[in-house]
Amino acid sequence: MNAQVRKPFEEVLGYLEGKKKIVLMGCGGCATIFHTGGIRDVEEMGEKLTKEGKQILGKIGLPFGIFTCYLPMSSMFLNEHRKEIEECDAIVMMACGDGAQAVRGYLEDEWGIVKPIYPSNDALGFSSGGPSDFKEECQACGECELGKTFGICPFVQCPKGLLNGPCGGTTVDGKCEVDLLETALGL
Amino acid sequence: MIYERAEQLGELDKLLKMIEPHHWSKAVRPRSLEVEPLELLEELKGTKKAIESLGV
Repeated sequence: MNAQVRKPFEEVLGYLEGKKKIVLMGCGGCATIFHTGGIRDVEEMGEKLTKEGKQILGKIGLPFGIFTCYLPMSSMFLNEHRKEIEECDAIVMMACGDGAQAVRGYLEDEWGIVKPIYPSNDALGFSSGGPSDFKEECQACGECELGKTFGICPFVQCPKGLLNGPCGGTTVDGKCEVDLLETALGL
Repeated sequence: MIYERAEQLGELDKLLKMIEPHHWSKAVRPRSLEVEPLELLEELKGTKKAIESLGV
């Protein structure tokens, strides 16, 4: 899944300068797991923005398992809020960049609506694990080399992202120069 | 594409603003994250309710 953290609230607020009527949309996938765009997170963001004088026209919270990026499902929820989206000054997407752009594309291509869309999250890459600890494993490079690298991705796991390691910075006892507690990935 | 969209939104002036370069070195690989675990059963109950409300 796509790990993510919330952007500082001030950054989101900065995007919304001069915008009064706001629609919030979350995601029932990764953003729910990382507490950056679940139904409760959307509610919380709504309250914070209201306190800052924003008028929240709509809060589109997707239940767990409904991914914003999968439009056949998420569009059902978008359609229920079409009026609010048409009236709003801006949409805050509490999802990853993929979800945000999926919605932007849907509104433009299917509804012919162009609205400012702002992210409230920073995505950190494809990560696995849980229920609480997650680690980045894949950067979706489109040229998977796992078959040649014994199931360990050097692009992600090596701090320098080197395919042909170990690098010249490896210590004499085989440790990675970036993290001396770790064995160099190529060894 | 970005220019055209900014033009449609009437926000071309924002493209004139210089954006500071990102400090990529802070993104040490592999990144990791610790979060509060989900109340999975509660979340799934909410999903069931929402799916039913869509008539599925």
